[in-house]
Formats: sequence, structure tokens, C-alpha cells
Amino acid sequence: MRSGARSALSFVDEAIADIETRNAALCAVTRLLADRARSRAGAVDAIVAGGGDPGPLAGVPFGVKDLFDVAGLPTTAGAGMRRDAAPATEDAEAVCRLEAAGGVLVATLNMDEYAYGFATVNATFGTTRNPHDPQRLAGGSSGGSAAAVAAGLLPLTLGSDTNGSIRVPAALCGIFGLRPTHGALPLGGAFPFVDRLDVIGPFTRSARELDIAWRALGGLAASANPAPRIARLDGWFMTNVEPGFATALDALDAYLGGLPRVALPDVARARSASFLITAAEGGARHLPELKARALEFDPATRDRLIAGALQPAATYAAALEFADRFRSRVEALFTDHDVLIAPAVGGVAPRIDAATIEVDGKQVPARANLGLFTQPLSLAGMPILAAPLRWSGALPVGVQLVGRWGDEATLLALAERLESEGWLGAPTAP
Amino acid sequence: MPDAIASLALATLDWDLPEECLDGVRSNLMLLAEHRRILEDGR
Repeated sequence: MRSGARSALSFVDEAIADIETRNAALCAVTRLLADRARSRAGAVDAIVAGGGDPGPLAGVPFGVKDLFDVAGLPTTAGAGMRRDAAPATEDAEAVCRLEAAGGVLVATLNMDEYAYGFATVNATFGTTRNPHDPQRLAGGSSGGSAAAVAAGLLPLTLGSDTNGSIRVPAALCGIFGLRPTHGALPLGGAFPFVDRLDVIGPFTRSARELDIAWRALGGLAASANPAPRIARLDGWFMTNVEPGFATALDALDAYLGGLPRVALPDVARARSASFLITAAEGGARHLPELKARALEFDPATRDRLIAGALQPAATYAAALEFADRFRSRVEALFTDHDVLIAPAVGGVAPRIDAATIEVDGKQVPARANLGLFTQPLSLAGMPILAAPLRWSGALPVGVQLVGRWGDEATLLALAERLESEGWLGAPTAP
Repeated sequence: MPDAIASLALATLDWDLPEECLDGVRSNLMLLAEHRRILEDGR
């Protein structure tokens, strides 16, 4: 495109036509921004025609989760009650950065209401379907963002991750997603959930594209460690994994030379601390609306938020205190290791009509529990790359590559290497 | 938490919960109590 061989407008028109044709079956896109996108694509083409360089994302159509501000539109954050909210006066900082790199915003994307869920089952905007099997969940809360990329509607989308909302849908939809280091990317214009845990990040179909998106977003372009010391998280992260997936992880482990096992202490407490911090902060944030307009919430979100708002302050304080200690313990693991590997979700996407998963022999709701392996790691704030592991199963599974604080570069380089060697890769949706 | 104390907590917040919420809130409070126990006990 930068050579002028093909116009940005042609890429954008193609994406718009594809969304118009295929989105109804997926429920990934909530708002198609055709006029804005065509105007922006025309501006990119004008730069090329004038001999300029529009940037590394020249003409790349992208979409954003419904919690990013888009000038002129209400930021719904997936809430029906916000459909009539005052329109945003400017674009979110991340949208500005992607468009400054030549990208073209084409659509906004479905999510769980207020990002509180791992399912993208939304009472107002519908249930996002997994492109690999429309009877199954796409995961959440950034389910629209993941499904749009997995289905090939868009090559790049943005989501947010508090407890796993990038990593869970990336794993279930079979694509790459990056949860950056906490605080690494700007949250300006992104509807908040839990300050302690929130980050934003990209989804793509390849590790190389993820790296380009990361840099376009303003991520640190540091040098990658060319020979990272890799270990595999043990204990909590070795149970509740489907046997076939566990076998595939063992094969990757052997390929990497037989990885040392690392036990992360107090993972159960870390997950509970994340759960409690999320409930308390989420409940406090939405308390005025919960008191005044409770019945306008998605019931599945509302009752969780109300319960969170009723948590004792002592519980919240204890969870925060634990979080600081846990972060120090995770940081200590990086004295001897550079990357830690763990499953992102224990198996394939659950069916929509039976949205449960098995944990310790019991069936529990998927909406609250798909983050079993992602939620504890959120508490530490380190960067985590979710990637699709190639295996014998018909549906995607994903792994987490956990890095040292601020070292996204090593994760991206390792993912790119493992993708080129055939161990990682986005399967094509039917 | 016992219903009497829950009612007191809600009154303190000047919050009259709609009937439709009560079952869901109760089950979520139980879930959070379980996580509070795990945070405190480690198991």
C-alpha cells in the first residue's frame, strides 16, 4: 500500500463489505464507522500520492472494543444504559496513535457489560460467536475484538485486560493477544474498570503483526533477549488442563529442551485477591448507577457489581496488601528466568448453551471462571503474550508467555520464533 | 452475611435493593465470601 500499488480505500471498502456480509452471524461488530473510515482512508491515500509515508499501519483497517472513546459516539462500555450517553468529544489516545501510524478505524466491537465477564454474552448487544464454532463462546470480555480478527473481518483490533479479557478470548479464538506491562500504554479515553489491573492491548493473527501494533501504540521498542531462559509454571497451572492440551504443552516443553518447572507460591490467594479487588473497585465505580438504575444493568453484571459494592473495606485493603507481596514474589522468579510458560485457558471454548467449565471436578460458570489461569497473573502486572498453540484438536487452545516487567520485546521475539518453527500459529476459521 | 446485618449495611448506604436482584446478589456475596476465606487461609 505504501508503494501505491493498492489504495487504503480499497482495503477499507473490502473490510466494510466483509463486515456487512458476515457480522450478523458473529455479533462481533457493534457499530460500523463506514463514513469516517472512508474519509480517513482517503487522507492516507493522499499522503501516499503526495510522496509521503503514512506510517507502518498504512491503510490497515482496525476496530476497537466498545470501551474506547470514538469522537462523536457514546462510549457504551457494553452497557445498554449508556447507548444515549453524551458522545465522546475526542478519540481515545490509543486510537489516535494507531491512526497516526496510518491505521483506519472501521468499527467498534462487542464486549461483556462494563468488561465484567469472560464470555461476551451481552443482554443488550448480543452474544459474540466463536468463528471456529458459532455454537461456542468467543471468550471475553474483549470477545468482539478477538472474534473479528479470528474471522478475518479485521487484521487488527484493540481490547482491554483486567483479569484476562485479552488472553481468554485470544486463546479461545486462536489468535495472538498482548497484555502489556501495567501502565505501559495510555488508558486515556478508555472506560475504566479496575485501576489496579486495567491495561489495553492489541489482537492480531501473527506475532509479527502484534509487534508492529505494539510499536505503533507507543510500546517500548527495546532489544529482545535472543536466548531467553524459559521455565514452565507448575502446580496450579498444571491442573484443570484438558489431557490433549496438556500433551501438546509437554511436546512444546520437550522441544524447548525440557523446561525447568517453577512453582509460583500462593496462586489461589492471588486469584482470590484479584477477584475481590475487581469486585470492590467495580462495585464502587458503578455505585451511583447501581443505586439509581439497577434494573437497567445486564442482570449477570449487576448482581456481581452490587455484591462487590457491599464488600468490607478491610477485605479490599487485605487484598491490596497481598497484591504487593505477590508482585515481589513473581518478580523474584525473573532472577533465574526470562519467560514463564503457562496455559491461558485449560481447554477449548465452552458451548454457549452450556457455558460451564470443569474446575477441580466441579462444573462452574464460564463467565466468572474462564480466567482461572489468567486472573492470578494479572495481579503481578508483568507483560503477558497469549498465543495459539498448534495441536491435534479441532478447536483452538492458547498459552501465556509471561515476561519480566517492561520486557514485551522478548515475549514478541520468542512468539515470532515459535510461530516460524511451527509451534504457534492462528488456525484458519472455517 | 446474616440478613439483618445485610439490611443494616444497605440502610447505611441508603440503598433499597430491587427484589429482582436479591437472589443474584446473595449468591455473589457467597462467592466473594469464599474468595475472602481463600485470601485469608491460603486454601
